[in-house]
Amino acid sequence: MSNATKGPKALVLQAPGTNCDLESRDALRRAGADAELVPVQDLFAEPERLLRARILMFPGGFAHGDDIASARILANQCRLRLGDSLLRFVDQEGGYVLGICNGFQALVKMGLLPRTGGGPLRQQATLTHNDSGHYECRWVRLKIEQGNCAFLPEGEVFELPIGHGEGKFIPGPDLPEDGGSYTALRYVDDEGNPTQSFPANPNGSLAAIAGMCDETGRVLGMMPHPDRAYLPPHHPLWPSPEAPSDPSGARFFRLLVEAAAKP
Amino acid sequence: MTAWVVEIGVRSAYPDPQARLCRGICEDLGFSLEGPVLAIRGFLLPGELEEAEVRRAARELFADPISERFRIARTGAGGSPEKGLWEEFEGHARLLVQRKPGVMDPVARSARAALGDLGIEVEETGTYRAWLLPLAEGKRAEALPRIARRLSNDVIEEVLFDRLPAGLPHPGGETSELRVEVPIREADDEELMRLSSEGCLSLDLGEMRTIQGHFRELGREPSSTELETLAQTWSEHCKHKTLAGRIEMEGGKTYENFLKETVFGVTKRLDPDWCVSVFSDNAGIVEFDGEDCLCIKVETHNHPSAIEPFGGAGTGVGGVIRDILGTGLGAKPLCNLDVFCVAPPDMAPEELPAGTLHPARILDQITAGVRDYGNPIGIPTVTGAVHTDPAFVGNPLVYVGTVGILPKRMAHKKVSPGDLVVVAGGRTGRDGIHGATFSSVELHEESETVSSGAVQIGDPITEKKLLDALLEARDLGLYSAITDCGAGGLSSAVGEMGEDCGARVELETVPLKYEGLTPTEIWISEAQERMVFAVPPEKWEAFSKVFEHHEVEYALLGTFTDTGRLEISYKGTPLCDLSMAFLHDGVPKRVRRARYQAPEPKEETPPAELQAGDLGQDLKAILADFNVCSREWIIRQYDHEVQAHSGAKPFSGPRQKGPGDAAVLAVKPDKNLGFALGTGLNPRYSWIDPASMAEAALDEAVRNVVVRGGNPTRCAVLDNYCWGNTEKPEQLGALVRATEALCEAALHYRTPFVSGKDSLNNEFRVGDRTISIPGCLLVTAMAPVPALDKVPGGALERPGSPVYLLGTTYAELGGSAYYKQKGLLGSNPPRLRDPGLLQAQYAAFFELTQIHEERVWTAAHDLSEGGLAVAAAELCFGSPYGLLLDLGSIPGAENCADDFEALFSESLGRILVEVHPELEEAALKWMEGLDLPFQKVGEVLDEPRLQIDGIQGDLLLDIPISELREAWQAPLARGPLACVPGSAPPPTSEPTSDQGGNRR
Repeated sequence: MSNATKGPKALVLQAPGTNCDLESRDALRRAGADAELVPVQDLFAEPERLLRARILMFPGGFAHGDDIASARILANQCRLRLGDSLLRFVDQEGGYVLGICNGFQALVKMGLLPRTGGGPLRQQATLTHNDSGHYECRWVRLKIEQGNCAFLPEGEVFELPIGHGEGKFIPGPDLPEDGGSYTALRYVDDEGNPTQSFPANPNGSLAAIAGMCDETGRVLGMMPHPDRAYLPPHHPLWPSPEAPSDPSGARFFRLLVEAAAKP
Repeated sequence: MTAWVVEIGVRSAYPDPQARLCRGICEDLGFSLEGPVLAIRGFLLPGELEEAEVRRAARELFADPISERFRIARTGAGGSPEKGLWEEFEGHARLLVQRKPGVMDPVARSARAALGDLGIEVEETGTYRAWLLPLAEGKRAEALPRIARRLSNDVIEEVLFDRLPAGLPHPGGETSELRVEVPIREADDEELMRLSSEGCLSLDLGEMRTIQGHFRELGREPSSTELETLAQTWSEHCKHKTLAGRIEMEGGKTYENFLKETVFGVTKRLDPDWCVSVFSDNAGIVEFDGEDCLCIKVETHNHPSAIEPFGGAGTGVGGVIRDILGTGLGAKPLCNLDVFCVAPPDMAPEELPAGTLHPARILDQITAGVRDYGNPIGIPTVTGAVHTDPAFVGNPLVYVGTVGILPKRMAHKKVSPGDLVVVAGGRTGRDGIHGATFSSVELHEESETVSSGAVQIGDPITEKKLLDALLEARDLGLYSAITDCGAGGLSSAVGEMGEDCGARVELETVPLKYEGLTPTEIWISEAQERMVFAVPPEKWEAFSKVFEHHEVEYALLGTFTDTGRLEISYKGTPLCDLSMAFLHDGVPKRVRRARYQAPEPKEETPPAELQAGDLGQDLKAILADFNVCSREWIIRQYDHEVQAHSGAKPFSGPRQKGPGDAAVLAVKPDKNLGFALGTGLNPRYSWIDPASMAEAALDEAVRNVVVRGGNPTRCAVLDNYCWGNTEKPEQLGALVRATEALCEAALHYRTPFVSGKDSLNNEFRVGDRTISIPGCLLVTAMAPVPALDKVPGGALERPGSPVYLLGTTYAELGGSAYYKQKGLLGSNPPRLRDPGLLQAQYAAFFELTQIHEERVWTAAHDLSEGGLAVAAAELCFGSPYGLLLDLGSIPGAENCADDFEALFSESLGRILVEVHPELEEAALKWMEGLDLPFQKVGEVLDEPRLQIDGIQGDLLLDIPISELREAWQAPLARGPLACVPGSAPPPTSEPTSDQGGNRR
């Protein structure tokens, strides 16, 4: 399917309750990917579709209403019905998996993230209720960590919005307390230092963890939304001259698509 | 019948917001807790399952393996006493809250499906919440019921102490006789009114007599289904009988059809070619660009929100979204707005009338209701307001609105005979019976018990799936018409769609949540998340495929006919056969008398000692007023970013601390095109003069969108009335006066009304006292923003920039926030003295931005509550800079007797604006050329201070912005519940949780 003019093929998964699918596809397309929407039940029925893609994206939303717990039902379905294909996609095909917000929760709860030692799908961390006790929607600053991530430049600071009620990252007993090399992004203050203070750290995440990578560096999950920050009008300061002409979300998706375009 | 119980608790090392919430309530009520609290999420599974299956479900589905733990037990009839299930909480009191049978429980439904993923097939599941509380034995009898009241709502939930639930919930009821005839032909007036009131039909004597006459002519008695169908269709909610009726104004005009001659009349007279469909469909439709239209609707959901604020507000949001989905051939929702009117959240609990919820709790719960519907369905909540007045204590107002986008060629729909009647979305249950008729009843102390059937809980994910499926079916052209199932349920939806042809429906085909509903209940149930479609038979197969793929239930109910009749049957028994003509046009015209009497003028000049006060203190007090203060606690709980169309945030500036006015949605960023959406409402002016209230609402709404780059010559407006009992001539007279002023102003502003709604019985009876709300008219304005990159911000951008005031100030302190602080009302509220001039101001403000390449206006705010002083402070809140203001140079300084009038007067039509220094001269020339009041009143300071020079040139005020900002942010910083006098500060953590250094 994919060819040179269309860029790498990206599948944007839709589960009942997914609500960031359209903007995610738009952001990927503007970054050069050949992005299409795929209902998750279609992928369950035909997992080989995954093997023709380079990027699989789990967008934000409230999959199955976040009933029982955030992303729990979708995570179970993916683990039980797509698990082998996912592992093959990541380990053998060199595919990229991105989970944003509810998608991050799904990746963690199905055990694809952080998957220490490249083992089987087993949940090793969790994302739980924000310290504030409720949903928060605001812009935050994030610093890229020196870690496994295969496409984000270390040390760079991104500005992105968050919007979630369950974003507090808690590592399980298999993980270092600060996430170690699995940590991809941390919430930082104005000086660029990881912070536990609200609202710079909007949910009380341990070690200010905002995003995680697996060992391959090609599976990334994060609470902040680059899919809400890829056009200049998305930035809070726009249209003042202080607003960036190339917002963080646009750069984020370009880096991902460029990396995935490499064979 | 036994059942399994699975209980989930947070591990002691992790934070537990539910336990924290409960601890806060206990401390608030003065009950001390000696040890940790455990909050439990409970699930009920059928008793036939093997223990191993239940364990697996608990491990893999219900409990998080990292942060949670679980316990399993069996329960049986009567509810087994619970002992030792959570060993380290042994001896704690147990408080358990579960939904009453039949109340919507989306989690239980999802759990059933998710168990299937694990290969565990069950017919039913249930859920509950519970808390284990370390309360002293002697305190429990007193404490538990009081704590339970705060953790539950007995309209929809029941409470158990110290036991497990009895088993899986089993709703249902007795199926009554199918067809019940109601003898009305021989009934006298008294009997007719008894039938109306006992059946909750909300029909008046004239209407009952009309129905009686109709059936005398037919020579038969009506069935109960027919009576209910008429009551639903003729309800005030659906037919607007009062405002579409004859109104005789004492000493004024007589209107034959009030709405037609007033608000509709404005649109008709203006007749703009960009209005595509107004006052006919579920929402108003206006042209946006060459391809698309925008449609907009604002609704109220007041009565349900008074008795169950969470469910009431949530289903309000769900309902107005469905209005947009049901407009034209179905529009895609782009954003929501909400406006709440409540009593002050710091009201002393002992002042609450019997039968009311505390306003703080109402505000807390309506916020949660909007959040938990709007966020999951993926529609950003982008703008809104909160107003407080003690008169809202029994009757809070919840306005909710939605804007959608619709391809131009899909703006109209047409049902053809032969089309199939199809319902899709949620199942039908006994929820929401009589919502349409209940909304026209006065609330009173016992409303809570009488009307529990009218209250519902929303299920946003079902609506999201419905939304996705219907937009796909729309684009494939698989149906010819669509409408929402709102008030009146299927009876209204099918009745409306078949109005011009006829419809035949077999009620046994409707998918039900549970057995036991009578056919009439099925017909009028207002169960949420349902839409009705007219599907051409040849499209049926393709239609079914789309809905199956999206996992949305649908059912074929019947056909649209050419008989002009509404025919309903249940399993072959005919229940209803009414002519569409009588159903839709048979309602007798209402005749109401109206009388307006201006209230006695209040003393105008405040006592001299008021002026001697400290201006800084006054300003801080105004900023801390609930009508002015920051709503950040509310706004941040709403997703205002989803769909990635956000063009101006609710908070502006580098620190995101400055309030915005209207919202801007960058819907077509590649064309630099979006739209602005704003609202105006000031109930306080209503106490002095409803005309002022109406003019201010329109002006503020329009000005809000103009300030954010909206085109005032393409501005559509909506009118939403909430009023007291308009059967009283004085109440109706005030409404007529407000409307006449509104229409006069709208003609000058050239803003057509495209949609509107009224809620006319907002009174609360307690004993022999009636509390009526102030007359409220919410105006919503929407205008295209043709140059997104020219939109002024909400925070000052550049030190040294000149700051101008557009518009004239008059001595208009009546109803102002300033007077409110002084305990005064006053008698001279703001009026529109020259609406034509204000229209010219807005046109000029907009056009100048289109002429210049550079952004002329870099930051701007409208002047409303708190006047110039508050607008100036607001421009500084989001900025690192400050502002110097000179009152002597404001347009109209000569109208003001003193500095206080200049600073706090709430005159309409004014905008405070930071001007690009290089374009200052051009702006001045442009405004002067048009002879508009536009003067330099100050400049941006390097330092974050607000400095104000008085009319005489003396320094009035010099105050750090941080001090003002703190005053503005403080009142709702910790949410409304923290405002209740005597409430304990919310605990920051549970004693069990070991947080290390991670607490904020």
